[in-house]
Amino acid sequence: MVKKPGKLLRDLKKQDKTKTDVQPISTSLEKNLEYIKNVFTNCSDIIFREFIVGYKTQIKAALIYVDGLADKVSIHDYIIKSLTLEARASKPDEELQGEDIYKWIENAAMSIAEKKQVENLDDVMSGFLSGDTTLLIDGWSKALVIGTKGWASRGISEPDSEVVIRGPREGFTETIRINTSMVRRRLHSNKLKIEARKIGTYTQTDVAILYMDGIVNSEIIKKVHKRLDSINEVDSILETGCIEQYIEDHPYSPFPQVQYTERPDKVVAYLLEGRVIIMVDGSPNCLIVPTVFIQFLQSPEDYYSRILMSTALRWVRFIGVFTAVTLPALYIAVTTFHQEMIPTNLALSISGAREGVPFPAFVEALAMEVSLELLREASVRLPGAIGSTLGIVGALIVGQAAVEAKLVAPQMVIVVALTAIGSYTLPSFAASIPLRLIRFPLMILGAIFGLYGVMLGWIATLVHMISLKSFGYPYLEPLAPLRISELKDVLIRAPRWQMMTAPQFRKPTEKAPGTFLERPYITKDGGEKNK
Amino acid sequence: MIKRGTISPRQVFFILTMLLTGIYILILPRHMVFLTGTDGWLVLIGGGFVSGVILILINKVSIKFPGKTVIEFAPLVVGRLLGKIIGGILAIYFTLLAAGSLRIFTEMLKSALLAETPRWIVVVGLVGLIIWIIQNGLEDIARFTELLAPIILLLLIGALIGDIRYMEVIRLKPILKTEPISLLEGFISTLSYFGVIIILLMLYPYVNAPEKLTKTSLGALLFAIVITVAVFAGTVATFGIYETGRMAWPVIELVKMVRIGEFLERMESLFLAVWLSIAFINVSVLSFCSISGWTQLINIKNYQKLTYPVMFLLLGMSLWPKDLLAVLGLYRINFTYGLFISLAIPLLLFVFTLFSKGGSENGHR
Amino acid sequence: MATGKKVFSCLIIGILFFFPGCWDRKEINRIGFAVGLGIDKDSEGYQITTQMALPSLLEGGGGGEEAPVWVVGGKGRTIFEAIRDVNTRSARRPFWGHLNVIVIGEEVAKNGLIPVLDLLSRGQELRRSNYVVVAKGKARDILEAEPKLESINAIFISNLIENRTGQSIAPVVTLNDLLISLSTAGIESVLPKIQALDQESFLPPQKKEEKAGPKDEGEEKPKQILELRGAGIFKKDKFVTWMDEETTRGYLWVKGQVKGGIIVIKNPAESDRDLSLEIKRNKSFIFPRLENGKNEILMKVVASLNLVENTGIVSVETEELIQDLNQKASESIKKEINKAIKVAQEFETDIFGIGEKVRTQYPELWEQMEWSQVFPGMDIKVEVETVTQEAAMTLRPIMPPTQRRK
Repeated sequence: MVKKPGKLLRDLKKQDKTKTDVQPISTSLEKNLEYIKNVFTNCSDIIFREFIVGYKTQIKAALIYVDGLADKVSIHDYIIKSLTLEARASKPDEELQGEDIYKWIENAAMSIAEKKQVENLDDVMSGFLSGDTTLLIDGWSKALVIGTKGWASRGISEPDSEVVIRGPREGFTETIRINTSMVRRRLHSNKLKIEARKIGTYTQTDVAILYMDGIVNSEIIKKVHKRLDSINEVDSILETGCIEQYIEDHPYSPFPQVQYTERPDKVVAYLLEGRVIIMVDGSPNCLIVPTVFIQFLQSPEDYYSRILMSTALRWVRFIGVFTAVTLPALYIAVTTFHQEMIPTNLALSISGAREGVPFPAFVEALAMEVSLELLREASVRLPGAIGSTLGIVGALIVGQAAVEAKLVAPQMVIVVALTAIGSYTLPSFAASIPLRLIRFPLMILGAIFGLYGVMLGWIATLVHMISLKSFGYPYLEPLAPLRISELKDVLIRAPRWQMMTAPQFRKPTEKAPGTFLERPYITKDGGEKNK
Repeated sequence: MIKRGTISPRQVFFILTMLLTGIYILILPRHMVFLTGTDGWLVLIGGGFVSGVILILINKVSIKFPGKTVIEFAPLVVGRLLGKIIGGILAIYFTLLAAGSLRIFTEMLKSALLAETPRWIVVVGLVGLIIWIIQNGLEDIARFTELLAPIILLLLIGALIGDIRYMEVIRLKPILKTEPISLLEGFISTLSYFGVIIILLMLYPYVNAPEKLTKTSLGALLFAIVITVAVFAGTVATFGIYETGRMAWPVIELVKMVRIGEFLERMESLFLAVWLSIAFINVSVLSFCSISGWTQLINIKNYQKLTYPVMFLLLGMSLWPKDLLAVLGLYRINFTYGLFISLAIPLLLFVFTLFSKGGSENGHR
Repeated sequence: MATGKKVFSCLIIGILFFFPGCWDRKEINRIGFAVGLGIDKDSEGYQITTQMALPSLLEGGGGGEEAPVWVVGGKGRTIFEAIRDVNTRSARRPFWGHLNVIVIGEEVAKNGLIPVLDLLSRGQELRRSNYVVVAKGKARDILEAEPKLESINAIFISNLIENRTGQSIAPVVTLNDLLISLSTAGIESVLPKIQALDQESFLPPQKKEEKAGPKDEGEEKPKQILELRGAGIFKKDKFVTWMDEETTRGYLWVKGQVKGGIIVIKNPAESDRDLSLEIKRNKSFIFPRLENGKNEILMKVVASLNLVENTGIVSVETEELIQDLNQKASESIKKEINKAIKVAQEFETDIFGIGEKVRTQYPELWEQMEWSQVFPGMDIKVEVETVTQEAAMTLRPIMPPTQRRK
């Protein structure tokens, strides 16, 4: 992960030459076990359980599983018990011979739901490493991987980073199966495809790609696969963030071009808009591609609550973004360059409050903003209760003391506080980070050129944002390029029945569900339909 | 090679509107007041109308050469040598216009906002951004325009509306009492002012729906005429012709008067900052056209190689004149002789296209 | 290309960091807010008085003994020299962006405004929307007066100008208006008159009549009262005479700028009782009639009034009485207008802007005539139309029961 991609690839190529062909399963159980034990020396959590199947014809067999990953109860009750005690108790009609024994074991002797036949030892090993149990039988050149995944996992809880007032409370967990099940539960459609793959030479992490067949633009699927293929040989994938960095278009940009979420309802909504979801085992976050900037300003709640309210809230967020990015720069520019813009009384009171403040406004603002970031970083790391205490201490006491010590003007405290509040209005934490970053260059520009500099900074930001693309889609869509029909979900939140035509991510051939374009129960003349 | 067919007619609409109402509107009222007094707005409407006819010619010519800019198709129409000369004139014209816009904007910024800041540092900052967006391509310029133009236009209209209470119709009278010679001179200036529309000859191949462009560009021109006339009439109605003639930047003075409620006064700094984006759009479009013009003229594949030399040339040119009066003096040359470019070239091309096609019936619509 | 771009952007960022010159930066607590400007003149040159706000004193809530302003003067042959002279005495550079009011001394007004105004209209910091007033006496006295209510006297003056709703006895003139009227042919300037007074000069009721009476210059105590009343009229840029408040209102009627103020007339039904009419709105039109050698100007003034007080007992509800009342109100307005016209014609200065109307309507005629000579001889006819409404809350006057039974 830390290595440079080029070097990593070279290393991998070397490895490939030494270990090209896969190890077949030998007919001798001894040999197989010996091989596996050799591979897994000093791995105390791997359990080898050898036992004997059959009454007359005794066949040696072995179960391999990882302690803690596999569900021991099902191994006891449905594999070992079935194969040993119950197999012996039941009297078969005739004595089985040769291959038939293995078929009988595979198909009739175990009361367990999930099983898979594998033909080489690599698959055997990856089988038990992912929590399943492998059954090796003496004399059989195949093996069974039996689904016994069952490890301790966190229960479903409300996602802390994306809180809504109205809407479902459950969030994804670290287990990919539970996550896909949560999506499937909301989307009972055969069109929902869940493609699985493994990424990471060492971690062999399960990655699932979810999309709605028929809605999604197949170009996007192709791009996703292509980009995931190219990272197939990285060492490890620990979190969706690792994948995100590999597959996004402009890694050096401060703006995230891939959104992540912990909310199944959001995922379903985006699936239905024709986007592709990437899930990674071990992470409650899943990635949404392609992502446009405006998504970060939309909260799932917008679509659940009333139209006017959500439109108003959206504008509050626009103001919040603007405040978080520009307010300190504007304050600096106006108080040090354009004093004529402030009403006389306010200008006099700012001037009076700054009387005795030793620093220029820029230094004052910079110091305050830096300490705000310090405070924020510190309170994120601290446990909940202490974090809020720190917030109060920082904001109230330090701010108050700084004002009284004439280090800063009280107006500056207001500005900085508003900046912080503004950046918290964003529903997505990921999007507030670039805004926090951009603030500082803007402040510098504002201190050098005044409003001209602030505007220069804004133009630079916009030029950059316009040049960004996420999986081939312009980042500022639908604002630039302008798509007037899609502004109904940007500047306002139009009623649901007007938003049935999906955005640009939908495959162009897909027909909009016509009957929902109007409210179905209301006739043209406004009366209610009789039926 | 620049990818063709990537910008939409709507983006062209905003680009044209920005170019026509952008930087040169800052000095237009003053110039027109000198020449035509209170009749300026009539002259503007007349000049706009004639420019509309030129615009139709431009569209008619361009549509016959799909996927080619004027610099590429001019040699096919009028012969190799003359075609190259026309291309060269246009490339120089765009470069000059870009440098002029840049300088006028900086000059205004200097006199109204940043009096002490060295001129070159302001210009370099802006030019740096322009180089960046030009490297990103015309598509990005078009998107940027599309994103900001509506906001800018709304602000401009808002400023005019905010000043209505200072305006008095009597200051626009009497009508048509100016000397015919000065009227003609004003009319010529107007043609040069609206002459920027020949940029359409360069933009045509980049548009993805050229057949819609005639309507769109005429719409943009009409809109620009309305705005220009409104700005001119608004300035004169607020200050009277004598005061307008005295001012260096009448439009800025107009903006200075805007007052929103009791607490928001003196918004001109804000407007000037917004004007920065107008300047940015104008100069980037003009310099893009000049760069791609030069590229096509000397047959280079990649226009990005030429960006730095042309932009440095532009920078030097914009810093060349000594002071504001020199800039205005230079620009007066364009106001007087610009029509030889904006009027003659489309006309010439049109006539030659007719002949080369053996007198097509499209000639008289 | 990408690397070139990066190098270039690094270069630009580098430049920005290496030149943090902040050429135009002026910290808000390092500038002196000049809120009022007074201009006086004597034989040596111009003297200016700058009123600077002291933010540190304002901060304390304004409850202190000391007024939060500081008046600094400077002198010079030109205004700019005088302003530079002020700079030598002020630790903070005066900032003119918050100038509220420009007070022009009587002497300056008599000598011509143009040399004074040129600088004021050039500077980028100054607003064209600044109010301009002309002081009776010296501008310095006005700026040194200490009125109550507002701690800063320049703000007091600008509030005084803005809130003249009560009376309509002084015009509101901004720098822009003044510049336009100075530069436009066919209209002359009028500036509101401001005067610093002592409390004693008008508190005793019997002295009310002679409020404009002469006062000693040698008084030590700053004056307490500032009064905005009447106007000074100008010919070209030179002051010619004062107008009293009634004449000023006559002028305002013609300009269509009367917004407030009252008219007191006799009740048409009971001739010994008065009615108070409040002026709501006012419009005016000027029609020059110069065809065929005629010399006639028609002024049409429309006013809408509210009946706010009826000291009598007879209600004026009927159609005829209202008509009568309108008639009387019109008469009274006409009288005021005629007064203004008389002053204007007497001093040969066309403050109403009739000339501008003539110029736009008869451009050829205008070319031939010398307006300032023609104007005094003009036959100006005034037509006044009034519309009166009863004030909303009460419809009838107070009527004693004895009268009612009758």
